[in-house]
Order: sequence, then structure tokens, then C-alpha cells
Amino acid sequence: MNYVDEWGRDPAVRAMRTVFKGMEDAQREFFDRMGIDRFDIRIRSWREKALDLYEKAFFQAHNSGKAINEKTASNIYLHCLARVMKGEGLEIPDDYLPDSISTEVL
Amino acid sequence: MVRLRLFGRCRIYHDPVTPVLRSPAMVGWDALYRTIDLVSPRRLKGHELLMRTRGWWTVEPSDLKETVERYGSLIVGKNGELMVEFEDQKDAEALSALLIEKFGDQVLLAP
Repeated sequence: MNYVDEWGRDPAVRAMRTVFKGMEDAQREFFDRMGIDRFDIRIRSWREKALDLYEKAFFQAHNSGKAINEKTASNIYLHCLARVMKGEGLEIPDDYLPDSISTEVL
Repeated sequence: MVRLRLFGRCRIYHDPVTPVLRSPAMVGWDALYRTIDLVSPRRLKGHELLMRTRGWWTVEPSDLKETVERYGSLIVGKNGELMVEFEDQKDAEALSALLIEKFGDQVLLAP
């Protein structure tokens, strides 16, 4: 089956694709730096909790009128993921995380 | 035994998505000359759930089935997830490499 991209012309769809790709790339690089195997069973729980935290943060930021772009979204997600992992006892060096995120969002 | 979920990419947003059987199919019967009141819940098998991704993923699930089954078994997890069960981590790594070779980054295994 040859995939035909019927949705690629929609700017809103393209924007969301950029957001999701940013989150995926950021997470992969982060796990690589942390030395976490991509099949580590803990990842599932971390992602689920991070997603829950991320959605709350995103909603709060949106409601308070804070601009969120593709880069900010992946930064917020990464910080949510790190928060979850720290909560389970992992040590995460500060320089592994992106700067410039308003902690009040979280 | 190693179990990993099988993700494809959403046709619209291209992010990794995987089907989940939220509740079993409720199958009843009609007959020409009698009424049958029996309704049976029926869980899907792994390959049946995989086929439900047609039109949702960027890849065709029938192209994927044979590849996956070279290294593992398609199953439905206890929470309805589409999963691949492997004998060991080595088979999971081997399938992951083969998926990249055949489908690029359009299909992936994840916990």
C-alpha cells in the first residue's frame, strides 16, 4: 500500500506534526543521554504520567494566555518526563534538560 | 518472555499510535427459523486487532503481519493492547532492526 498524504496541506496538521516530532526527538535524545534502553519497561509508566502532567501544564498555559509553540511544547514535555523520573528516584543532570521554561507552568 | 507494544504512525499527525481493545466484541446470532438469545463476548486475537489499524496507520497492516511474525507472536495484552511477544530481548532487537529496514520509522516497538 502506498501511503498518500491527504492531510499534509493543512497548516494546523503540519504544526501538530512538528510538535509531535519535536517531542519524539527530544525524548529519544534524552533517553539516549540517560543511557535508558528503549525497551526498558519503566518507560511506559513514565510516558503515561508525563503525558498526564503535560496535558495539565499545556491546558494551564493556554488558559493563562502563554504562547506555546512547537519548541516550547517539547521543552514542557521533557520537563514533565524528567519530573516523573526524578519522582521515582532517578538523578537527572540539569544540563540534560532544555532551559527557558517557566516553572510556574508546571 | 518479552512483550512490547506495536505502534504505527497516525495517517494525519504522524505520531506513534497503537490500537487498544477497550471491550470485547459482543457477538450474537440470528437464525432463519428460530430466535437465539445467546450473546457472547469475544476478544480479538492479535492479528485481528492489527488489521483494525487499516486506514489509521501510514502502513498497510497486512504488509506488517508477516514481518512481525518472523520474530514474535501478535497478541492482545491484558489491557487490550496490541503487542508482540518474544522469546527474549534478542528477538525484539532483531525485529526492531527489520522493521526499520522495511518500514523506516513508520512502525516501532515500545514498552
